[in-house]
Amino acid sequence: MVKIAISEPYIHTNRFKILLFIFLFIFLAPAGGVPVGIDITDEAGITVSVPLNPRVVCLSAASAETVYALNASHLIVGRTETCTIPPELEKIPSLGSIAGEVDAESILATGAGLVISGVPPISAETERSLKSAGIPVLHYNALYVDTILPMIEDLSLILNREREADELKDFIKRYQNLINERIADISSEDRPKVYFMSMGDFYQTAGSDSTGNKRIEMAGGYNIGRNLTGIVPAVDAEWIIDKNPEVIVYSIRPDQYRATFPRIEEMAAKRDEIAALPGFDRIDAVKSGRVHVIDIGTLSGPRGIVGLLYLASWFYPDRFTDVDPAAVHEEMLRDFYHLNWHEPWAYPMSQSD
Amino acid sequence: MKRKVLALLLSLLGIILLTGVAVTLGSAHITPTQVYSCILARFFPDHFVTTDFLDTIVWKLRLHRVILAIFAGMGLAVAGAAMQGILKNPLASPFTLGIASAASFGASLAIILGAGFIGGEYLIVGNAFVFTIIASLGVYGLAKYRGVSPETMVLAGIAIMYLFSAMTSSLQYVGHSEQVHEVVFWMMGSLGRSSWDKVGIIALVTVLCSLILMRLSWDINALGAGDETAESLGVNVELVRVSGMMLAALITASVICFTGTIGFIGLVAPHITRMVVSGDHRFLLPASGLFGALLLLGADTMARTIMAPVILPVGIMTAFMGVPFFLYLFMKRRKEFW
Repeated sequence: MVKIAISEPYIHTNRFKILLFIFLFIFLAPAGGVPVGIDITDEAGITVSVPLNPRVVCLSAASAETVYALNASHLIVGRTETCTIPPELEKIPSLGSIAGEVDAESILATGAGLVISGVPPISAETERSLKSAGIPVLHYNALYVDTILPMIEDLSLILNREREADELKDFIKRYQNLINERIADISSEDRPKVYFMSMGDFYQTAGSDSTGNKRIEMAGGYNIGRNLTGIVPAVDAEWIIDKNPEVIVYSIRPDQYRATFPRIEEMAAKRDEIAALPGFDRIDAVKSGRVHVIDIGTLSGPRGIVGLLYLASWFYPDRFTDVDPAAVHEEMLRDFYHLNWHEPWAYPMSQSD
Repeated sequence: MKRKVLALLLSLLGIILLTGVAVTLGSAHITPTQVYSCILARFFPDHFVTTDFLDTIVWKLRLHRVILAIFAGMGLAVAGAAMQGILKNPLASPFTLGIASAASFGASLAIILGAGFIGGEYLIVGNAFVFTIIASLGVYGLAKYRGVSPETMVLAGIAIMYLFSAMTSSLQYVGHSEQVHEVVFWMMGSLGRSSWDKVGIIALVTVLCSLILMRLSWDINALGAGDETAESLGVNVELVRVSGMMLAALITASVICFTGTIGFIGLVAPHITRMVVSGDHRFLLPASGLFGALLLLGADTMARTIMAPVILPVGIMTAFMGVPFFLYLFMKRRKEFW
């Protein structure tokens, strides 16, 4: 009895101490030097401190696809209407049709610890509000392979998905190296002249500072608009006919087709329109049937490597006979997006189609 | 009188000369001799030679664009001159009356939502046309409600302009970035969508409506002296005002539905002309038309060549060329011209 009488207050004090210790641990541990965040330098060259494994708002298809491919889509708490691949992402609440119209309040309401912006970007006003609320914003346009790989790397560190990231990066690098090896020996005079129709417009092309120009170069083509100033310059039809490109690539944009992906009929119709443009019957690309239509989404983000593979195989059909970009795309969708899709994303896929 | 006839003749000569130069300029590497040989070969196949390539460049791409510039410039300027005369207001033009912003809204509706009155190839054109007519009727209806005084008509026009601009902005808000880009491009105006069919339609509407407006020019002059005076001179004021406005709207609609909103010509070409030939509409209407044609042809030729092969939006060039000239005339005249 005496023991008990003595031990009662003893136990109480101990309990109090334990509780106090737990509380102190919870509240003070972060300040005590245990790492909770990581410094990340994004594509825009800005370094921000980002918490580990945060809830994420993805404002571009490229970032949402990457987070999904890294097996961390359960951390996505908000997206834009542009994030539709894989369709599982559509279950996540949409905060607006494009990044520019998403406001800070709707992002804050998701409880996100990180916002990833792309093209088009988040509005400056929203970004300011988020920063003042202590929520970091990372910018990744991820429009071509050289910018996609660093994005995957950064996101893998933040989301602790290094193994998945290695697999994805290896996949992309494998085909990037394949393209580089096969086009390395081709001199600039021997590269096919390419006219790229930008933004779904026949007469707007890829100027010197554009990603379109970069993609054509990376796939071994000679962009006839490479010296034009501006990103999407509108050009004279006379000039296109005069330059006589050997290949024409038209990027079809999401509002130009009905479903998540363009159908063959929709792409074939565009191709017919191009062939019927005044004077285009004189162009070698039209004469030889080397006019290709590709889904604009397949040119950027992680799947940008598939777009690049399509371009390279269209520029050099002889050198890529053993490579089937459609099969690579299906493999990628299956392994990283868990999709068993066999849809066309480009037309005609090869010259023999 | 001599001065007025001289101004008309000089403008006409200017158009002919500029057309002659404009057809030889372009991004394709062909010489002026080849261009003329190609044009003449169509009429005298035995005496002049051409090639398939030349035919493509000159007949399929260049010539109809040059002719479109002439008729579109003429149409916009005549419409502007008529609107200014009928409303007795120097600020009246397809832009300030809300007609151009209605056309932009119609086009945006087609580009962003894919919704319209006519499907297929003419979706954007059909929408722009229909909304132009709706806005013109709206301006007139609003003004009619309280009697058609020129001041109310301009005020109503400005109100309608704001309404359609707001609706266009809200559409841009929901559109994809590529679509918004296309809308902005449309709103800057371009003759790049030209074809022989379109030239035919624009030329027909512009010439017919301009001829009718010129027949009304004496009545429009009478309106300038005040409604009561005009009525005492036997002019049916309301009929002239309504039919004149509708004709001007029809010209504007048929031009901008194909070209996008080419600003400035409808407002300034008539003013510049007025400084030279005075405000008599019997001369002002045809002279404005010719000067508008000259201005748009000059601007489009510059837009095609200054950064070739990149084509600048023609609306930018009309402002760059027209505004300094306009201000120069202001400085030189130093007196009230309106």
